[in-house]
Amino acid sequence: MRPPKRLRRRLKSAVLLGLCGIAVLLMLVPLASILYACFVNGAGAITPDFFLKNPPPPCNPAAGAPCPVGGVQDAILGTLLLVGLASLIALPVGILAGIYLSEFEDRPLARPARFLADVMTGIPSIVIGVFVFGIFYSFAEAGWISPFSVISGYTGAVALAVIMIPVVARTCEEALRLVPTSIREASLALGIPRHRTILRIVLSAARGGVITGSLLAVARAGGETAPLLLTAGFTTGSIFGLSGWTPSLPVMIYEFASANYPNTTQLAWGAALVLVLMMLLISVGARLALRNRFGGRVA
Amino acid sequence: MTDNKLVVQNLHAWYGKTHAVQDISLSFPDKQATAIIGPSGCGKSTFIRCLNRIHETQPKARAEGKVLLDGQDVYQEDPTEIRRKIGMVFQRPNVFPTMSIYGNVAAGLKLHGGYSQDEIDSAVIESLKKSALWEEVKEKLDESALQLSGGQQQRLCIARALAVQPEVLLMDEPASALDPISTARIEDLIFDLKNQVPVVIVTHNMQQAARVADRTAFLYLGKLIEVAPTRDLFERPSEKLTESYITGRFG
Amino acid sequence: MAGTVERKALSEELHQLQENMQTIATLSVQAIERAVAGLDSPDTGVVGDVSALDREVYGLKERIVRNCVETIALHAPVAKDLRTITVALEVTTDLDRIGRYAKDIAEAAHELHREGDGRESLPKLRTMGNLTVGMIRTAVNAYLARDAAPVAHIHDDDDAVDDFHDELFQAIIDGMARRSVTPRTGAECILINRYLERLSDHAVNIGEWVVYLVSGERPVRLPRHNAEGPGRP
Repeated sequence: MRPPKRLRRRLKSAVLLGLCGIAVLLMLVPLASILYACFVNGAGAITPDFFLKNPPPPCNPAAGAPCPVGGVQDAILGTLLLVGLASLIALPVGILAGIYLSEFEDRPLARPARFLADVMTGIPSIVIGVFVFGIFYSFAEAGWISPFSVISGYTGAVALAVIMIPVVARTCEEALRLVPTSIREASLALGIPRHRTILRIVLSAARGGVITGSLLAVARAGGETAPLLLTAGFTTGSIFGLSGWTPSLPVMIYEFASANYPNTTQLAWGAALVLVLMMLLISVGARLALRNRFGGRVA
Repeated sequence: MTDNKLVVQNLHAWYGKTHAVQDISLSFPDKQATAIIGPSGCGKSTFIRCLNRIHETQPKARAEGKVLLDGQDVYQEDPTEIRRKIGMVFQRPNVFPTMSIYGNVAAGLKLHGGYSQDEIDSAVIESLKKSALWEEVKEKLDESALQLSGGQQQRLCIARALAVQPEVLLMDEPASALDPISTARIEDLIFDLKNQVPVVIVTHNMQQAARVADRTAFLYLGKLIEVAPTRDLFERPSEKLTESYITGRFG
Repeated sequence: MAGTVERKALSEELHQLQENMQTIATLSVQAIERAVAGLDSPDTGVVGDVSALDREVYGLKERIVRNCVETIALHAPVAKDLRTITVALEVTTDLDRIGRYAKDIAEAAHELHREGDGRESLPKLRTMGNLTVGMIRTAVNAYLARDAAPVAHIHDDDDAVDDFHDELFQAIIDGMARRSVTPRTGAECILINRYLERLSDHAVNIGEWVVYLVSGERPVRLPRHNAEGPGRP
């Protein structure tokens, strides 16, 4: 005897729910295991020295002579400087581009620009790294910069900026589009000029989305490895600004993970943990940004 | 006989290829409320949006003709200046979501520049009083505008529009999204306002036009069919089309 | 045109109103015709018939007025619908008065016939009565047909009736002075004379409301008389 319709429906519902639950678990497993691995392996590396010293020379633990541990001070500094400079370039450019795409979409440049931005978000970051390296190389060939400046923090920051700009532009555009036309019309109808309408009213109304988009772009830049390999190089020494080879956390992780010295491997895990924590912090920051000053959610 | 504050001559308007407003000429006397009625799609919203040049801010929108404010053609002037002089209240309340109640009303003055804090403060209080909202919000001027009810938000929009001291006030179906009490409040407001500023109100509710307006114009398919003192239009319209519409036989 | 609606509820009420007006008009005209016919013959049934008609007219008038007020409250009519209803309110009042006067005329004529000496005045009254009934019929038909053309010259007809009235009034006075007519007879004749003149005024009223109904314009009232004329308000 076939089970009645009602029972069959509930069965189907339960099966589907079960499949979804399994899928969620499958999704969470790699995430959780990454966090777990980072914590377990990296927590041990977090000491005051971690933040105050630079990496040690590679050494093999010989009996009786433990290897120095060192720290990742300049790698952290490097990441901060690189991402900082990249943001300084990319955020204004990206936001203004986003404003153009959203508010001036009937201009002839808007459609092709949007298409290009979408394409650029898909270009592999190593290609961008090669491209930026190539540009700076040709500057050196032309004699505009010294050959020693081709691989530097500035080059790296430019590469990161090129990655960030289309992301910022598109997310900013989408955030602005969500602001209803009625708000713009209300502002214009008060006799507020268009530029003030956009900058003071519309942008303000979209600020949740704009800030989130910017933070996500910053987070992405912070984690990029391939372009920095080519453009910023790596060093375990101290840096003074961005003019020479500039270390960064992701590149350091790559370098130390592919070598096989236990003391530097330990540092790599510590750096991975720090990187992961930085991403978490940025996500939390994005959520906080979504609360407007009255305590409610803006978006 | 009151002077004509706003005179429209041979106005045409298009959305892309659609000829939404066809050769309308109409005058709006000072110290009077004029209603514009007609079935949906007759062009009344488009028409009113041409008066303060909001129509052209939409893509593919175009207008031709003359709109004379005190004798000056608004299409020859800077649109930003014109929109300060000709204010507008929209169908749905569109308060600025990230600003407080005070901020909303002050926005027009603050973002225009050139007003002292005192001037702005007194303008805000004055406008809130004029739009019958002051008593309800005077204790919470710094709170978000979004926590007000629909009727209150619409009155806030009216206060915001009044704060910049326009010479004409346009209202595009201001009460159509509101409950009957809020609607009645806004109608009372118009009754008081029209002695200070000429009011042009677009409405699809004929009874509202009858209650509120001194003169009524009937539009159909982009053309002006008839305009007359409201009493006359509702007792004995001249055109058969007007008669059919206001007796509710179509629309 | 697209999207026409019937406004069924309102149409229904207006239709009902038209039917009621048809009925009350018919009854009212019947009443006055019967009363005027009775001026000739001393038929004792006249008073009874006309009274019955008058009562019916009155009852119907009350119903019509109530219905009109309800329609206004419910439907907020405008333009022609509004004029239809307000004119109906006015015209029922006129028709009710016509019925009432018909009854009064019937009763006065009955008294006259009993007195027995109305030979002089009755024929003249009958003529005037015919004129008045003609005016009423014209006005009522114009109203029911919503046509203002037939009442274009109603003021002229009214003037003729007024002149007739003045002449007859004087004649009756003279008759009473010469004692060719008894005071009682004279009084009744004067009353009938007066009722007929008032009736023609009501016919003119109805005619003017027809003009308003059709065009929305109120016709200008011509002054009915010059300053001379006996005791005219």
